[in-house]
Parts: sequence; structure tokens; C-alpha cells
Amino acid sequence: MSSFVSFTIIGIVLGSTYAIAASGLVLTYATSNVFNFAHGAVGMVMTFLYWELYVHQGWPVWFVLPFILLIVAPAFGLVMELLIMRRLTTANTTTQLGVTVGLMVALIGAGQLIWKPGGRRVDAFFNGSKVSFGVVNVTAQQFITLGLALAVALGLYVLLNRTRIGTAMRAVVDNRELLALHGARPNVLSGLAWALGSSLAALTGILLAPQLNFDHTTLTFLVVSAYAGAMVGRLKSLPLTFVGAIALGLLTEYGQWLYTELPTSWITDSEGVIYGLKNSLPTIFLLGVMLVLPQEKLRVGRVTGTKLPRIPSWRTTMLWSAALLGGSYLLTGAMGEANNARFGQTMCLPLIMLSLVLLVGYGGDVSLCQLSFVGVGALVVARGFDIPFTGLGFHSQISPLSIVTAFLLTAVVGAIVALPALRLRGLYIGLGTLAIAGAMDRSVFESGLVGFGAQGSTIQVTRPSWLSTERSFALAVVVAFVVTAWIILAIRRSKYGRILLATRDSQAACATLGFSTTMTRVAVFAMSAGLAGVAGVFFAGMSVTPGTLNFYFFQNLPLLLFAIVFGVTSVTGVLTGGFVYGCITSTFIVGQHPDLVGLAYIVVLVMLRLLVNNPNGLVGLLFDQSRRIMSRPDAVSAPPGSAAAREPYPATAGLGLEAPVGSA
Amino acid sequence: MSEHVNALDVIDLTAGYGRIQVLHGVSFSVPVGTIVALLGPNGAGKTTTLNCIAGLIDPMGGHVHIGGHHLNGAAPDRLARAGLCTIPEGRGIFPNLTVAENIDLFAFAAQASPKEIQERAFSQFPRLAERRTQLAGKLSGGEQQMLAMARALSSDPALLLLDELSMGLAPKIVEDLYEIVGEIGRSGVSVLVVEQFARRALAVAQLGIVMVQGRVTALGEPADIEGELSAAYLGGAA
Amino acid sequence: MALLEVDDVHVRFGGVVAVNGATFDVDEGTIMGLMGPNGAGKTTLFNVITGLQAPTSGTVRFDGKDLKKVHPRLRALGGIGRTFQRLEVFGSLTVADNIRVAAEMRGIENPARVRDELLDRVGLRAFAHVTADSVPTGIARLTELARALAVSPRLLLLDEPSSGLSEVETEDFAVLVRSLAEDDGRSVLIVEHDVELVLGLCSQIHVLDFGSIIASGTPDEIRKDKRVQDAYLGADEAAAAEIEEAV
Repeated sequence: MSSFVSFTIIGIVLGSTYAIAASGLVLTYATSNVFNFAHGAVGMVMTFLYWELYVHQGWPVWFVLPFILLIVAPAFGLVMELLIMRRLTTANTTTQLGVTVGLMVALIGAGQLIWKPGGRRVDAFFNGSKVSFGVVNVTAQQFITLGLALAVALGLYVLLNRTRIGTAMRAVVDNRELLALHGARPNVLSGLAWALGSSLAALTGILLAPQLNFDHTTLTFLVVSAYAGAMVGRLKSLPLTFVGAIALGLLTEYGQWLYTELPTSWITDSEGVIYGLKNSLPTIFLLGVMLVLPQEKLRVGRVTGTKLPRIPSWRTTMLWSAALLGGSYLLTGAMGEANNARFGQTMCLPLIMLSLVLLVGYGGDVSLCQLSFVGVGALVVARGFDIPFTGLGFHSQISPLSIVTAFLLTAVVGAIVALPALRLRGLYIGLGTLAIAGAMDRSVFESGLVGFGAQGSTIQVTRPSWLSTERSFALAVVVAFVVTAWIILAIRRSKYGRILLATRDSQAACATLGFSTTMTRVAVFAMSAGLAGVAGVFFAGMSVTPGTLNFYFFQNLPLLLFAIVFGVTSVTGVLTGGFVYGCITSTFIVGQHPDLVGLAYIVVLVMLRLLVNNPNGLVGLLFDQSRRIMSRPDAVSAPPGSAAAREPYPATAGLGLEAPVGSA
Repeated sequence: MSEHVNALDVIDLTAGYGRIQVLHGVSFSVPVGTIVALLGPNGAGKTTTLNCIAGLIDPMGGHVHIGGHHLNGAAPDRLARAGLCTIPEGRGIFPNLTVAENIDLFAFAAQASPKEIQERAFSQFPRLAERRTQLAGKLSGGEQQMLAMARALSSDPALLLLDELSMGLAPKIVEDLYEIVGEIGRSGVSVLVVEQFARRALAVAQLGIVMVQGRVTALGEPADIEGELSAAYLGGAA
Repeated sequence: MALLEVDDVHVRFGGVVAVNGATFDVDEGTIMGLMGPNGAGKTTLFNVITGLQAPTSGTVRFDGKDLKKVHPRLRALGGIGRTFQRLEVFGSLTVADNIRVAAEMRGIENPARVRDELLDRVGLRAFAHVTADSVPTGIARLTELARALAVSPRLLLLDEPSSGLSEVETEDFAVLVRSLAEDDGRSVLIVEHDVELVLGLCSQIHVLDFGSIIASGTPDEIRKDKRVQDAYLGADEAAAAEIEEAV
């Protein structure tokens, strides 16, 4: 019983920290309409700064805390608002997602550059001294956390409901223009919100630091739990957000409690499934909340469509394919086997990203669980599959059969994921798929029963004998890329491509034409997942020992980010984006210069500034430029409004109108 | 010198959205202390003109002078604090805030204290006092427009811009609202009112301007522009 | 029996009444006009008919069937097509593909032929290969019209179709709409603020003001109706009282 009480207390305390983080998210979202994926990363950087000043430099805590919470963090929030967020308020979801994820990645990069990973700890306040209440002890840290959460709740309530500034902050999201006509400064108001939000993120990080692995990613991704809390309040209501956060804190800790009470034999028998389920409770909670959110209505009257890069002619496609294959052949011939392996692994990323072209580029949906589909594909080939009664099957063997099976199985998984996701749009579908990816990680991939196992991978994938060298398999990956690209371009040219774009551009118009967009979205999810699954087979073959870490859920964020930055609407875009991302993470740099990773991420952020105005990414920008330079006559449209250029209607009787319109 | 200064001068204003030009050189003035009605059929460019004056869109060319000051490119919130009160088309209120909270926001532009503002608003519109804790979005259309008008009354502006005051409202309510506009005008405030129901606006205005397809086609006292009005609206059919 | 029957439809948004007891019929093969000043509730009424907006009360019947709770998509399959006042073209497709994809969505045979016929009929040949988000507003409106026609609706709702069209284009447009009714036998319901166009085109007109129908009749009757002039220019005191009684 006493353990139940102490888990309750820990749960409430944990929920309180989530609540502080979540209220910061809600505050910034409500005033600027931008969902800040980098919220946790801001907290992370501030927590490291706290460690630097307090632990490393030995400054007194009474100075460091106010200095960070009241000066550094708010200033950081103001700068973010001024440089980035202000421009995002009217951008589409994909751009918002791309930019805030980019900021997050850049902050992690910067954090790793300044503070090398490893070996840090922060003591709890008052050295972890405790007060005993009969059966349970409550630490000073827990008291302080609870007190601060209450203070934040009360302070925000008073600010938003009892002051004019607060009223204006609630008004700014309704109608920014009207508030300006009232004489209030909307930019100052959202600056204030971002300053506060950033300070709350810092507070969360500092409160959690003593209890956690003190590293860049753990702190950054704690915020996923905050997403769940904020989602309960539908990103609007602060009281509901607090309720949601506390509920999540309790759920997490009760899960932990149940886990300790279960017979040990159950846990070992499940080979990590129960352990994984317990650890993915926050993501399962998030997913559950997403699913009960009311469905969005059809929206009418919005600007539709963004211009996509032109479809290349078959001839161009042919030439480029030949150039890519030929170039790879020559390159791999000139390099040694070790570098060929790196090249092959790098080329897997463009292959994976191709599946995003269909879903994100053409379909206008967002997926943050694409790597999970890749993982499923890798899992299919790694663990093997027997087709009942036929005697057909494969075990850890790359073969046409394993590729087809991986495609079909992943497509089915994709369709299943699409079903709940269909109810959602934009940001929510992004968060929903991220939650799915998180849950897949812990309950499927980490499990020894159905997945790769938690401690690295022990499964070896065998290549066919004629592809056994690194060079030959790397070339096979390039061939797979070319074939997939041809499939995607064929879809784009076909009736299905047109329908896909139409669905993205206007759901309302589709409905009034009598067309159901549901099937299209399920189909594109399934197709995209299937292609990712095939990429997974090649990835498994290239790396030989695929493991959980390859598909870790938050790697979905940089994956989508690089695709968007370089241009997720074109094959060329994902080829370059994937190649650059592959270079940074998997091979050339990580192997020799780990320091450069952070720097590379910061460079990405700079490129993001270009993206804000260009949904087709850097490659789209290049396309536009080159077209301007080499504009051919057939690319130029008829002069708008030229009545002479128009063919006459098959006119019936004479005109029914006596006078022309208007009398000016 | 100062007595010749108009409350508003619009000089050769051109504006548009993207590649579509909506205003083709609009010029007119609002003398201090007068009510001017800006009239014309749908799509004539009335609201665009108003939005240029209020700083909500940047004109392509031309000038806007308010109280003799050249104010091209000033932010709308700066103009509001300088004494320009704009009530935009379709009820200038925040539907998700209560009536009292809406009124509280008036204080950003007004010189008066929040308490004073609230008293003024409630004494002018007792109906609003009854509903002070209700969400503004739950009010009837007429009450919502009263709430928007309360801002003009309480902030004592130098120039008041009103856009489509009557949109979607019953005639009796529109009549009441125009009575208030007349009152505001008599108190010395200069008013520019955009209206598609010409006669209602002309009943209180001292001057009328008719716009058709982005140009001013007539300008003068109400009686002088009647003929031009019918032509502008009904294409000569009336 | 009329093809479309709108019976005592009310729509309220919060405290605002957008449509206040609208009642009218549209007969097969006729062009019916809905006029009225800004904010009179015309577009809301369109959204009610196509199912994008649920009415607070009242019924809409199409071909004798009550459309209550019928999804917009099923109404379209039943033969109701529309264009939008605020454009909803498929901006990333070309004008030609906008038409073709509509036929393809419905599995209509030979979509390429449908596309070619409509490009000629609506007069969009010159813009066929331009993406729809970069054509002028008028052309985009015609694209929406052609797209709606690609699935052969029995009833076509046109929302402010002439705004953005030049005078010549408007004349051509009128000829086209007339041919839709006379040659194809489609019914057309048209919402328009261009009074002259509506008066010249429609056989029967309803004038909407403050969400209620204040006058109905032939173009000539509407021209002479005092209340219509008042609705557009604003009533004098006496007329205002009269409308008050009528409402």
C-alpha cells in the first residue's frame, strides 16, 4: 500500500513538471498558431546552461536560477519570435513543422557542440533532503516542483483572465488584425508569450534534470509527454492541459508500479513486450487523446494548391537515371569496400525519402512514422516469413519474395495506421504518427519476441550470392532508387497522381464532385508505407545487422526535415536531401568527425530561412531559377486575359443582354 | 493654417491584391467634423480603400494623410493609438471573449481610464451591461455591432472609419446604429462610413462619394449624387 | 414537381441570423436567380443545399427526396454540382487536368474526350496547359464551371460566377449558361450581385435580404419592384416599416 501512495506522489510530481512544459506549449500555440516542436530543445539548452553556471562554474544557485529563468530564457524566446515564429503564423503546417523541427535539430546540434555528451549530473535541491509522512517520504525537490507547478498554474490563470494583457493574448489568436485596430501591439504580445513559454521550458528542464539521464536527447524528448498533456486541452484550455498532464504523470507511475508488482516470470517470458508497453505509455496516451479529438470539418474558401515542380519528360528521367547509375558505377569502382558500404548506406536515405514524395509531396499529408515502416520492412526480411502450405518462405534472406512480402505487409501496416490518422489533419496527424512511431519503437522493435531486441541486433541478414560484395549491393540500392523513382513518376503522371493532387488541393471541391477522399488517403498511406518497407529490405541488406536504433522514433523528425528542406515535392529534392542527411548521420562525417554533426545541423537551420517562402524546398528554388534562365517557349503560358486567343463558344442564339455590365 | 487641414486626405491611391489591381487612383477628403459616406456596389473597392487608410494593406501608390500627417506605411496599431478608430466589416469584436473583456481591450487606444470606458459604453448601451459576462459571439447581430460601436464612442477618436455597418442586420437596428453615427458626428468626430445601402448612410452624412470599379465617379452633397447612385447600383435600370 | 425544393430554411450562427425562412423551388431545365446585397445569406443558402452547412431548421428536397443528413458527396452523386465564390480550384493541376480529374474521379468513360469537349465549350483552350493557381480569377471561375460540368450535374449552383470576368467574357458566359439549360436541360441556380446579368439570364428571380426572400418574379417584375430597389439602395422610412411588417 505504501508503495502505491509513493507512486501516486511521484506521479503527481511528474505530472506537475509535464504541466509546466505543456502550459508553455499551449501559451505559444494559442498566441501565434505555431506548434513548437523545439519546446523541449529550448528547455534542454537552458538546463545545460544551468549545469554550466551552477555545477561547472560554481556560481551560487540563488543567482543562476533567476538569471536563466527571468533573463536568458525569456530573451531567447523573444529572439525566436522575432526571427522565426513571427513569419510562421500564416505558413502551412508542413512548413511550420519543418521549421520548428529544424530549430530543434539545430539546438541539439549546438548543444552537442558546446557540451560534449556524457558524465554530467545535477543534484536535487537541498541535496535531496526528505520529509517523512508516516509511510512515505517526500523530498524537498518534490515539494518545490509541486509548489512551482501550482504557482505557474495560478500565475497563468491570473495573467490570462485577470489582466488586460492576458485578455489581449487570448484575443490575438482570434483576430490579430482587429487587435491591432484596437491599438494593441500584436507582435509585443506574441513576443511576451514566447518569452514566457521559453522560460517555462527552462523551468521544466531544470526541475527534471536531477532525476534523469542528463543528455541532450532525453531532455529534448521529454516534451513528447508535454504534447500529450497539451493535447488534452486541445492546445487551448490551460485547466484541461493541467488535468491531462497530471493524469499522464499518474498513468506513467502506476504503470511503473504495476510493472514492479507483476511476477518476474511474466516479464522475462514476454521478452521485452511488457517492458516496452510500460515505457510507451506516454505515447499511447497521446495516441488515445488524438483519437478522441473531434473530427475536423471540411474547410471551404482557402487558398488552394502550391505549384509543384514540372513533371520531367520521360527522356529527362531516362537521362538522369542513366547518369545516376553510371556515376555510381564509376564511383564505387574507384572506392574501397569500406567506403562502398558507407556509400550504400547513404543511398538508403534517398530511397527511404522517396516514399515521402508520394505522401507528403503529392498527397499533402504528414508522416512522422515513416522510419517505423522502414523498420517493419527490415524486420520482415530479418526475422523471415513462411507462407503457409506452400513451402515458400525466407529467413534473413534478401530475395524477390522477401521484397514483395515486405511491400505487402508494410502496406497493410500503413493502411492500419492511416485509419485512425484519417480523422486528423495537419499538425495533429504529425503528432499522431509520431506517437505511433514511439509506440512501435518500444513495443515492437525493442522486443525480443517480435522485434530486433533491446540490446543491439543479433540477427544477420544474408544477401544473395551475386550481391555479396559491398559494391554490388550499394549498386543494387541505387537501382532500387531508380526503379522506385520511376514508379513514383508514373503515378504522378497517371490518373491517380491527378486525383492525389486534387485531394490535397481541395477536399471540399472533391466532395462536391461526389468523390470520397478517404480511400485515396488510405491508399496513398499504404502505398507510401509499402515503398518504405521495400527501402527497409535494402537498408537491412546494406547494414547486414539492422537494429532498433536505426529506426528510433525521433529520427523521423530530421528525416522529414531534410526531405522538406531540399524539396519533398520532387525526386531530385529527396535525392539530394537524402544524400546530404545520409552523409551527415551514417557515414563520412560520423565515422571521422563527430563534431561536425552539430555544425551541419546548424547549417540546416540557416537553409530553413529560405524554406519559409518556398514549399518546394531548395531544389524547387533551383528549378525556378534554371527555368527563368533557360525559359523555353513551350513553358510559357498564353497571355492571361487575351480574349483574342480564346476560341469562341459554340454560340446558340444572339446575346441576351442589352447593355454591357456597369455604367462607368 | 490648421483650420484648413482635413481629417483625412486620400490622394491618387492605387492598391490591389497580388496581380489584380482594385483601386485605380482614388482621391477624396474628409473635412474635420463631417460625416462622409463612401458608397458603391459590391466590388467597387470601398473596403480596400478603407483598409489602406487603416494601415491593414500597403497601397501600391498614392498618399494617405490623416490630420495633415503623411501616414503611408504606418502600422495599424500605431494609427489606432494616434486616434484612428477603425471598425472593420463583419463586426469588429472578439467572439470568444466576454462583453466585458471586449470592452476592456478598448483601453489600448483610448486616453480614458478603463473604468470610465466601461461606464461610457454601458450607459450608451444598457443592453451590453446586462450581458457583460456573456461571450460576445453569443450576442445577436445588432448587439454585436453595438459592442463594436461602443469602441468608437469610448475612445473619442479623431477619425472614425466604419465598414458596412449594416451588413446582415434588420432595418430597425440599422436605423438605430445610424442614429448613433449621427450623434458621434455631431460631437465633432470626423467619420468615413462605407456602406452599400446608400440611402441609410446619406441620411446622416453631409457628403457622399460614389465609387465604381476602383474609381470615384461622383462626389458631393447627398442630393447631388442621387442620380449617379442609381446608375452605379442598378446599371441604369432603376 | 420541382427538381429542388427549399422549404422554410433557417440558419443561425450564434446570435446572427444568416438565413431566415427561405422558401423557393427550382424547376427542371430553368435558370433561377438569387439576388441580394452583401450579407443577405446567399452563399450560406448554397452551402445548405450542397450540405457544407447544416440548416438550423427547414428542409431541402432534391428530386423529391429529403436531403437531411445526406453527406455532401452523396448529394453530388445525386446530381448537384456547384462552383465556389471563394475559389476552390485544384491549384497544382493544369486547367485541362482540373476538368479531366473530375471525370476520372467519377469513373466517367473517356475522360480525355470530356476534357476536350469542355475546354472548347467553356472557352478555356488557350489556358489548357496553365496551372490553375496562376490563371486570372475569371479563368479560374470558368475552370470551376467546366469541372462541375464534367460530372454532368442535373442541378448546377453557380456562386458569384461573373466576378473577375471582363465584359466580353461575361457576355460569353451568359450564352453558355443559357445553353446549359436550353440545350442540355440542366437546372441552374445562380447567385450573383451583377444585377444586369441576373435580370438578362434568369427566367425567375428571388431577391434575398436579411436572410428572407423579399421579392420573387420574372426579370420585369423584379425591375419594377420598389422593395428590390430599396434593398439595394437602402429604404426610406416608410419602406423600412413596410419591410419590417413583411419580415
